Amino acid sequence: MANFRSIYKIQIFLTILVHVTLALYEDQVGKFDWKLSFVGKVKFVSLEAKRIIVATEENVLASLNLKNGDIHWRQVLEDPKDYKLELLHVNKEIVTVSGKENTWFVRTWDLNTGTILTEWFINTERTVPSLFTIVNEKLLHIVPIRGLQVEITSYTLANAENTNGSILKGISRKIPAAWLNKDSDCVPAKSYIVCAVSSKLYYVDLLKENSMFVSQSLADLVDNSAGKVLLIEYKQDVPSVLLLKNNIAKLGTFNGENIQIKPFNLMPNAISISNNGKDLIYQLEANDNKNKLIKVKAKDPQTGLDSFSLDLEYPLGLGAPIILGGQSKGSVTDLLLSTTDDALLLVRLPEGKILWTREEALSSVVASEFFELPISELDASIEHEFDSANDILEMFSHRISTQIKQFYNLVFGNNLLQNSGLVRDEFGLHKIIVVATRAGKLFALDTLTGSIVWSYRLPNVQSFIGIDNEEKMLLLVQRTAQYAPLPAHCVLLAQDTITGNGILFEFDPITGYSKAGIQRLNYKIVQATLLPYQDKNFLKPMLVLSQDEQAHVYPTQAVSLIKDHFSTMFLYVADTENSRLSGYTLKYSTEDSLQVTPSWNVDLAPSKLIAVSAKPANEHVHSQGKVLYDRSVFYKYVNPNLLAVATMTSDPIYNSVLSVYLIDGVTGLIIYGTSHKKARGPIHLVHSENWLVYTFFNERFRRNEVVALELYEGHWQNNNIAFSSFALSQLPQVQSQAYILPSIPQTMAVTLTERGITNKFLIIALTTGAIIEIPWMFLQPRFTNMPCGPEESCIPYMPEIPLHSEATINYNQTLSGIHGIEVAPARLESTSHVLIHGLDIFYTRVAPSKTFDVLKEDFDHVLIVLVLTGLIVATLATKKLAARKALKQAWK
Amino acid sequence: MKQLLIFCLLVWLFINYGNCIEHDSSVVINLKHALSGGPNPVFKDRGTITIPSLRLSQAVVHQKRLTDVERIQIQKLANDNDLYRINATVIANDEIERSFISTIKACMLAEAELDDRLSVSVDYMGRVIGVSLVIASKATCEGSNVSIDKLGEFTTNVYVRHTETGIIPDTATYIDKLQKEKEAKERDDHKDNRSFLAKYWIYIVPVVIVMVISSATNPEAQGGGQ
Amino acid sequence: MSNKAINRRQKWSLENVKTYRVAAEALPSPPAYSTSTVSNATLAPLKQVPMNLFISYMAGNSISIFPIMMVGMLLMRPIQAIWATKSTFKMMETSSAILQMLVYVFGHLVNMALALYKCHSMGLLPTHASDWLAFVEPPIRQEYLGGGVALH
Repeated sequence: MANFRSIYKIQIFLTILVHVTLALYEDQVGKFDWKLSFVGKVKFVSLEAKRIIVATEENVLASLNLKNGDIHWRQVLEDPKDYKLELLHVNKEIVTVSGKENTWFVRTWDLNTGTILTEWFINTERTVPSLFTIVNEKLLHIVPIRGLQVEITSYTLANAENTNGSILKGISRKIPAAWLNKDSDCVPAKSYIVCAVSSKLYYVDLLKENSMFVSQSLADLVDNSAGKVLLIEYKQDVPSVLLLKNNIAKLGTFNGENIQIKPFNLMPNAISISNNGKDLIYQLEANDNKNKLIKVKAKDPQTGLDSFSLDLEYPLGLGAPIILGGQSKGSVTDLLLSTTDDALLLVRLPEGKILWTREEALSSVVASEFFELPISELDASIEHEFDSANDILEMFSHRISTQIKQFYNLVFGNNLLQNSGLVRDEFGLHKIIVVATRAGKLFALDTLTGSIVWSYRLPNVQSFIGIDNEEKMLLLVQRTAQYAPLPAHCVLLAQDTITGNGILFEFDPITGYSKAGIQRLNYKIVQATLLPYQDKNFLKPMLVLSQDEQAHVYPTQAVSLIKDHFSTMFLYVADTENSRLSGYTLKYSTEDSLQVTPSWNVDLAPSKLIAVSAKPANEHVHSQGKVLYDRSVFYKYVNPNLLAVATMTSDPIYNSVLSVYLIDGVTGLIIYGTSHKKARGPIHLVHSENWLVYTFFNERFRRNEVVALELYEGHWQNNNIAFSSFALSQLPQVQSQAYILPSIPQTMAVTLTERGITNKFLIIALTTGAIIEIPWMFLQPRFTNMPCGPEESCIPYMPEIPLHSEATINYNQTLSGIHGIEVAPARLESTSHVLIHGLDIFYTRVAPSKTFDVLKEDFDHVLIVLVLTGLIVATLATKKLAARKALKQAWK
Repeated sequence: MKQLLIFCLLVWLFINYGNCIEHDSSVVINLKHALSGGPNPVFKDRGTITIPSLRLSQAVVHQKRLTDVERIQIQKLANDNDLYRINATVIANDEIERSFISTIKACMLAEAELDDRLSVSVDYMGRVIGVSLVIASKATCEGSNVSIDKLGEFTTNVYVRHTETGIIPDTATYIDKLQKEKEAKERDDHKDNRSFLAKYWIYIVPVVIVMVISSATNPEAQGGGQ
Repeated sequence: MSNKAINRRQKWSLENVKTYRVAAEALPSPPAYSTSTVSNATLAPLKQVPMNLFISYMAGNSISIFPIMMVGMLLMRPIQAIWATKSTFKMMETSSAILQMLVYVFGHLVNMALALYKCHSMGLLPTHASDWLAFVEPPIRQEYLGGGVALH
């Protein structure tokens, strides 16, 4: 029985020991990690001399370098779901307005450094959509109220007297507008407000005192054809607006109470750029020329004649562009284009050269998958030696030729780069990450450098909505790249934007080549899963469940492969709307007709389902039990079909109650359930091996707590040959323990390795932008009646998890807007790949037990060889000398 | 061995009857089963289970003995390695009906001679969230041949499984432990102020003895040798 | 006894008699009777047991170089000696040699048992379930599950 002093000492020693070894050395920075920063889809733009100030849909304000598009500084504002940027105005300072409904933040920022200068708050009672505009250094808040009036509040920003603490006070003015209804469309035009309702156009000049709305019939201004007239803002010195009807826009300029419509037609994305006082209208038009898809035109605003026209060499992989903004200086004009797939590019005229492109679609990754690269041709040919296993002479000649090639490569260097260098490296650490983004674009990133290998744009594709309004697409790997010469095969499942039906896209993840292209299905996808059987081409078939409870198999001829295994395939679907889980079996399917039969259901209503988690499909559990202090084994309950379900119930007494259930996905038996009263979300679940970890916010003690559950069978294994969910002889024992987490977790994942021998680390992303790793040993529930010390490899229980700064895997690279963490096993047992995506993408490698299967990097090969040869030489020399001496002695 | 297994399962399920639920209620479960296999099962009445108090978890089971026709059907299901399904309609105090289906392999039921267990899971409020049929067994089967006379009647045990209360971090014992360590450290600090000799005499004395003995023998040897 | 006979013969033949030194092996020794050298050799391993016991006790039960060396020595010496039994007993009589060899081998086996006991007390013998845990194969999965949250 160790005394307390030693427990204390050992505890401190162990925690220091465990954490001192986690930090990176300074010269290791950037060696096996990279970070890509993004700003999001650009909404507003202002071009200054050398900088571009952008405000994006992700509620980010950033300054980009004009020449190369790199981020100079970036400010991430609030969560874009709640608050949106409504206005960006740049003069000497940057003014932004962001918020929603009735709360708005008005901020001014420094142009060069992006530091916040002032922040004010506007609080109104109106919750209708409103507009903001800046006229003559005054911020105007325009609130159109249906059927009544337009309220305009003007705030003077420069004058500090007009603030009441931090709330801006403004002068209100009401202009009656009884014609306002929900179809009315209002835009600001410098100092005018223009609204289009049914067939009339109303406008008012705000600079004039007591001005009223002037109305004009739209039929007089625009032609009489059918179609709704939309108004588009047009920024010019003279107040103007674009009237869009049937995809043709007409420019209207205001002068007092008159509006003058220019006779020429414009494209909807026309903007005005002034060059030394002279204004030109720039617009993009589609081109018939297949190589040069986009045409840039500059028109004279008075006459409408083309003063400049150029065919752009527009890259095929980008979506259709619109002009966001531009500037002209002398003969050089820069246009900033934003595309439908969220990319941002800068075009320099008159050369028509695209200076740089930013793929901002990567700021919202919805699915990702890691792929191994194929082995190099030389290695493949070595393995093909045994193809003709019977002919010795052929094998011999094959081997000689391969070795000659190897020798040639060694001496003269390897100048054949197949697949542009995409071959597997020594430890299999060079991989391709395929990410699917919300904009419907697929990218392949190289794990060594983070550069984009290929990208593929899928038009009219959107992601599914999963639990808790989470956006996701499904990426399923049907064949990996290790079966050369068969290419790797991957499938993306998404939703069509127009019909909502499913989309199937099969492609080769290494090259991005797709033979079949996008296949649009005629049913809505509910779930899909990969089947564990391979056909003769090593392809795993995929099972898709549609909304009408029909099952489909892709590729369709794989039905003959799986027809003997129907009784062992089960599916489960969690319906978040009704809080029901249903299980299905494929037992009654035949080769001709696949059908799913309901087999169990669990009804959790009126609780709300907030998280459902199954175990990772490629997980391998190495040790089947835990060794106790008396050398006996406590066997683990590893049920690969176990589901962890978390629900939240609102309760009159306890505010909200969190319940976590462990349900077997094949039989529907609820194995364990626990409930935490006065607990609040967000809930994060991690389910692996025989344990479950979940975090929540405890309202009673106002702290974030982490609970770990571990399942054991006991001292004897039930069945050590085969595991079946139906064969349950006793319920597993559940050990649980809770801890306090000192920070707020944003998302959580666990490391995965190929064989499951290495320790597991939990990777938690905190709201501060740091990613920490916590060893599973800290969280593992301790046995109450057994000693816990270094001999049992057990760290004594500490109720609060210590978060050391060395445990941050992204050292000083703070990440913003973290959305998800993806983990993949590497070919090395000790390492896992970790990809963190959100507004930024960060990739690193984690080695939870340190790299025990690799020699350290600065292993002194030279010294060892020298010492060995020296010793051998010394031994031989001494032997000779000793023999000579003995001989001499004998002759004395 | 089988009895031991059943006993173990009984013990475990019983222990897990666990913690209290918010609102106790009585529940009536109407059990139906499908003896016809195939993708479209036809459910026929099997029996009724009344649980007067979910908190006390005692159940009264009313089941009819199986007719010969039904026994033959079960035997056929087991032979064909088909599935045996039940449909449980749960009527709680608030008159809301919820129905649950559950499936097991018919051959397992036949080999267990119709000894099945019904697991009724309740959430923290006392609402029934799942009804599941379980056969206690160590291994599955793929079709079995059981004689008709063993398939007499169902012996069903009902287990009401409650949701346990969530665990909280155990800060009290940890703080106590730290307190004790601090006190022990303070007490220990005074102990080591004894003199050097008092601390290490157990090592010094044998060394001195050995030296004396060796010097005693050596001079004698030296003296004797000369 | 045989010497006396020879001396008597010598007493009665005085001249030109060659004194033959007859080898002193004439009669085989009775069963279970060993001469001094033979008995030393046969019982030597058994005599070493108490000393080995004491050395094992002094070596300690920790896993470090000295106890492991001791155990190794305790194991290897009997094995080598058993291997060389034949050559050690080459010069012995054939009749009771088998029994002596058996006793000799038994003595070495006792030494080896002592070494194994030492291993056991050091915890090196795989007697517990946890020692065979690394060879336990994970059970084959009989049902496969797929699916997730309903996507809409």
